[in-house]
Amino acid sequence: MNALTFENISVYRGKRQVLSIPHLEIAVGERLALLGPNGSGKSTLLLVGALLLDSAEGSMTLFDQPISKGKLKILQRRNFATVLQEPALLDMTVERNIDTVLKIHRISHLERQNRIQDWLSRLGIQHLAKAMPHQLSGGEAQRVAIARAFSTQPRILFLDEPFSSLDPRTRAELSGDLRGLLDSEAVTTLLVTHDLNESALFSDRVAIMDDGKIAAIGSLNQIDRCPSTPAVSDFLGHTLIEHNEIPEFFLKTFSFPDSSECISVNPEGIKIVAGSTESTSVNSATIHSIQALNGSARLILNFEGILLVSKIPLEDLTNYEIGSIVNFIIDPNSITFFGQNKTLAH
Amino acid sequence: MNLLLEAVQEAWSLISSGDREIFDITFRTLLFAGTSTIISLIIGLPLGIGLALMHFPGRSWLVSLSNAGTGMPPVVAGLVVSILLWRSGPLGSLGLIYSPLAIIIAQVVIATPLIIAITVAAVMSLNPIIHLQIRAMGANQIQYIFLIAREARLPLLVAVMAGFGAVVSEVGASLMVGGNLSGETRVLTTAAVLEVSKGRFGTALAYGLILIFFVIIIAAILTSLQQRSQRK
Amino acid sequence: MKYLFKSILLFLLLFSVSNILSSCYSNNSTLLLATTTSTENSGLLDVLVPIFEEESGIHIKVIAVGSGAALRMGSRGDVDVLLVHSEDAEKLFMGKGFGFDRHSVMYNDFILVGPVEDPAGIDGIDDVIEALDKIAQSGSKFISRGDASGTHVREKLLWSYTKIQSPLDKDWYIESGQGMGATLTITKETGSYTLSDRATWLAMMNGDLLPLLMEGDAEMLNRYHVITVNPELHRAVNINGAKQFRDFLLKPSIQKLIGEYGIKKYGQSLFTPNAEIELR
Repeated sequence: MNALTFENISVYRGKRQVLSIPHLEIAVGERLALLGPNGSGKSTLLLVGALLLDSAEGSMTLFDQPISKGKLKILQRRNFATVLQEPALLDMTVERNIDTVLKIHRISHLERQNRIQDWLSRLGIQHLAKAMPHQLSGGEAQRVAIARAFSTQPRILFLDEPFSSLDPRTRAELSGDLRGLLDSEAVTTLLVTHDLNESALFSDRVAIMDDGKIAAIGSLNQIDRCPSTPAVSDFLGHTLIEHNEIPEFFLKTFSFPDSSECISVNPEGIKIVAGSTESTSVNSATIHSIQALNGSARLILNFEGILLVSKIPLEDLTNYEIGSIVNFIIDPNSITFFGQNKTLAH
Repeated sequence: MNLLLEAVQEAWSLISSGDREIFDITFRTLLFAGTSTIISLIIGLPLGIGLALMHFPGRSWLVSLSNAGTGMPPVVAGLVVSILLWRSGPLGSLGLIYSPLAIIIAQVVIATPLIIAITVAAVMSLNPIIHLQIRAMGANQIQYIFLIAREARLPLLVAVMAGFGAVVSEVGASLMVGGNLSGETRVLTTAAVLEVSKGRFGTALAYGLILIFFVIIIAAILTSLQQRSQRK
Repeated sequence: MKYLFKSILLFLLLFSVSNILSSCYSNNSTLLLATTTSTENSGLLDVLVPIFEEESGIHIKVIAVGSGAALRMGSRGDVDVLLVHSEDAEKLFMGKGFGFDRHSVMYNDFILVGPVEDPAGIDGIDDVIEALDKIAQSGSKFISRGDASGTHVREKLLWSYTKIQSPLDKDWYIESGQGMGATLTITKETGSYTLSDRATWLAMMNGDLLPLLMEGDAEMLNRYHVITVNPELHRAVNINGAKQFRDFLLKPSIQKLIGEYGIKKYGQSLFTPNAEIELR
């Protein structure tokens, strides 16, 4: 049985189509991450899934039941819990916030008390039970939002970039705590995020969205090795090089199909080596800039005017200086060619 | 100046003597104003919330209309309601003219646009994400309205006070639709006008002072509530 | 706290509902009487109404407006019975068939009042037209009701007999647009003259009188009539109640009461009953 299926879903903002999903299935117990740049439609897809936004056409099923209209739809909505980018707490104490949503779900008084105590302590905030929202830090408030969500024992949990407004340390903490809770509760979850690492930690399956469509879906490793569109490559941080800008060296060394319009190179495939440039496969480039992100680091290399991205371990970061020259080789398997319609031409 | 002092003295002695009629009139004034304010809230709150949140063609017209309604002269409301309720008017068969209900109807007509306009402003000033979250919590329409009203309760309190203040101090409409009938539809304002026309300034001032007293109490309550929320 | 609020709410709503029910129910046991503000201000109705309600079991609602407004309301059938004092307008009213019948009830008179100093020198003059001429000549301020009431109509009629015929364009002539009581107040405050009915003057002034300077001219009689509204004007006209009220006003015991009204309070009676004549 599928928790949620989408068939032919489309959403328009004015004349512009902002979401187009021909088909998507989310299995019961699955954790799916939605990735993509801003404006790619991932939040829109989440809202449609949570029955908070209507699709102009198509249909959805919820646990194999069709979606209802009107009052019954609201009842179906009660199968879900949603955590948004901001905690969106009501102007009342923390425990009343949770109490309110439980009352909406018609949970009995005694049971409400139990759940409030339970979830506040599982999120480590039982001491904040009587605090008001404006007294809480960003992280604490978001913990309340998460506690509020779990307390309703949802069958599907929707999370829309829940940690994006938090500082990195709080984000890491909360993210870890959330994963722990998801592991123990085993609830179907849809997570929207723009953080690749987070998505990898969080789920086995990710969907990368671009321009309102799902451009790639599968495990992050699969997609990384074989990105389906240039946009996906770009999002993953691969180097994208247009046809007319491809350096001589590449053209000589690798065989490109004639129809390739652009190529993308996975940063893992550009390796810094100590060897000399005598070997034909070794080249040198100048370090243009250095980036550290998400547990690893990147060297941006300037090779004949093209910027190539190379992934290096975080601990090696300090070995390099901007402006110095390094040697590198490219793993041919890390190159993806895209044809005329920007589709895969491997 | 002498006249004023005499009038104040007379007013004070009337009030402190616990004159039965003054008490009746005061009670009636508060009852009418209270009832109409509550009815205006029941009508105006959901309408204001709906107007603030829903998007439909002609919405901005309706918002402008309700804003304009706050400036409507009460006398005009009174005249329109009278014309409707007179026997010769379309609703004449209900026999409502010159009755307490007629006054309440006129007062509701006066207070509702005020409450709608303030509610719209109050709801629009809420963080937009709250609306999404409340719906996500699975609230139905009524629960939604209650929760939004609760979130915006401070500015809505202003709406209530404004509505109550407008109707309790109104005289033209109350006179026209109520007829200022002794023991039935005479309220503080219309009684004061009658006393002035009879030249009995002391009594008129007594009514006026009581009215001012209640207006001050309302203002005090509102201010203290605002202070409380800020101190938090 | 929440419960208190909810119970107040409930109470108020119940009250309103019971009000609706009683209002809709009110038809035959209610009588709508339109009369003038000066009649109401005299206090006579405060005495007569309770007696009538007691005797007949009918609840009267007394709507006090100007004569003009009262007659207009009568012409639409918005009220059941009129007690007014505007002869010409009344005759017009009856002529158009708006009234069922019309009877004399009582009369009082108009007087000219003004400042103690009497700059126009009208004190003691017998002829009201002559007095008005003197006021016009002296340019002393004169306050008119200006509200199409019986008093105002009479006042305009009297001016029409004077040399200037109409004082409307004169700057010493001011229209208050209000009832007799308010007009008397303005007159006193501004040191002006005005034409008032005796009853209101007595009832309002209460010892602090604007001096009565001129009275007694036959042109200054103010006659009150009770007119029952023609039931054909509107379904809801309570013609039976109206007839009962008319009979009440005209019966000897009440006529006697009318004649005595004012003596205890002001030392003189305010009205003279004259119910013998039926008029068309």
